Amino acid sequence: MQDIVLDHVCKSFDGTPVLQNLSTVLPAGQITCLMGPSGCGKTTLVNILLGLLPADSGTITGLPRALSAVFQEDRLLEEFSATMNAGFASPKLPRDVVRRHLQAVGLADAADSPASTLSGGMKRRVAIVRAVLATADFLVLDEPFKGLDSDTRRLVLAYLMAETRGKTLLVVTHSEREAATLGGAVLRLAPIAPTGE
Amino acid sequence: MTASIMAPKFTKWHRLAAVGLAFCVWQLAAVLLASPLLLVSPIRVAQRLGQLLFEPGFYASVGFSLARIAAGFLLGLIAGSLLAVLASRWPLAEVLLWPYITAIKTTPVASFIILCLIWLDSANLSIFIAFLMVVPIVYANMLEGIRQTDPKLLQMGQVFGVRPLRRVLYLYLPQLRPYLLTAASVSLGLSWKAGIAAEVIGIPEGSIGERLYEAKVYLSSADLFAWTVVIIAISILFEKLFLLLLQRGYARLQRR
Repeated sequence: MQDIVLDHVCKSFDGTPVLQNLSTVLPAGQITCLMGPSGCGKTTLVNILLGLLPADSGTITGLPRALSAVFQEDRLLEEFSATMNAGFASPKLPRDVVRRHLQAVGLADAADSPASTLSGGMKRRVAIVRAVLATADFLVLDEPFKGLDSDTRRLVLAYLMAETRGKTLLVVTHSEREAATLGGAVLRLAPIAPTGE
Repeated sequence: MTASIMAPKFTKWHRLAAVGLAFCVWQLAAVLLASPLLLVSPIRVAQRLGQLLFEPGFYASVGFSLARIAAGFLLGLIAGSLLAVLASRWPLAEVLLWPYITAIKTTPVASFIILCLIWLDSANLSIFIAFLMVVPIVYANMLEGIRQTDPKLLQMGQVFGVRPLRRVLYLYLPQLRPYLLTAASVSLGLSWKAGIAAEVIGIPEGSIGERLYEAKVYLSSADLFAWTVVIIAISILFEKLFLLLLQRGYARLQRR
């Protein structure tokens, strides 16, 4: 597993720069918290790292082929069960293994329920388990604890820390407290100031 | 003061009563016309239908037409779906397909039937005509369904490296369900009507179309109506069976 190195990455939309000469390193096997105000390019950077958007220029090296993510929206398959959703990215995993992971985040009773019947917090936990179970060394988690109460947050955080040890994590968060709890480096993005004429 | 407008609620019993009333109107009209050639009574049609069920060759004729029209429908369903996938991936394909799809949609069925009689054996004409009727409907609905598939779910599949078959089964198929059901429901009835029309014109031996043609030649209104009832019954049963299988397929997928 290598460090993920971003070198002078740029991205604009309709002529408006969102990322400009972004150079940073996401250390292998470590957590990096990505922070910044709305509109500073966090989602753009996440989408570039996940291969959903090409950068306009610059290079990114060390990115593994297998990726995993907790998206800002849950992006679950509503007609299918929590177990099916949680194991969606890892079809070879036995069901009982998936259920054990759901149990670890407090979803033992909801394992067979269709995702459409789950509350927001439950859906979030399913999405987190899905990301954890995917065979990937690099996980991007976009506000993973959104919608979780404090007790559930603690439970899920403990689960995440235990299950992603040794993996490279990029966690998008607005909370300084959360960043401090997660530990690791903090990458702060700032909006690009418009250039005067 | 505001008046609330509520749509009247009709149950299946109301609809059955409406059908019963329609039969009464039919019977009354037949009695008043007093000419079985012009309008045969529903009672006479029911009697003739009862006789047909025990006549030799009845089930062979039903099987002949059912097999061919069902085959045409299924082939059209597959072809329409594949063309929709093609058009969704390559815009050039959509442009290239447009004149053919438009021609099939707008050309009268009778024109196709007569044209195809030149190319095809009359025994298999109904397969091709049913196929032609189904393709544009399935193509249009499935293409729209593919385009309406939630892009965020597709991105999720892409990020997790989900294999193509799993994407089709779990990302596309559930979202295509309403479009597929609509396409199947509309095209089933149409494939039957067009398929039987092809048989009446082509007169393949042993088909329902041939029986309808004979009813016309021998001026037997009772036979004509009785066979029409048979066609309607088979069409409804086939549609219900197909949609039931489709629903069961989806239910099985969801239980995985």
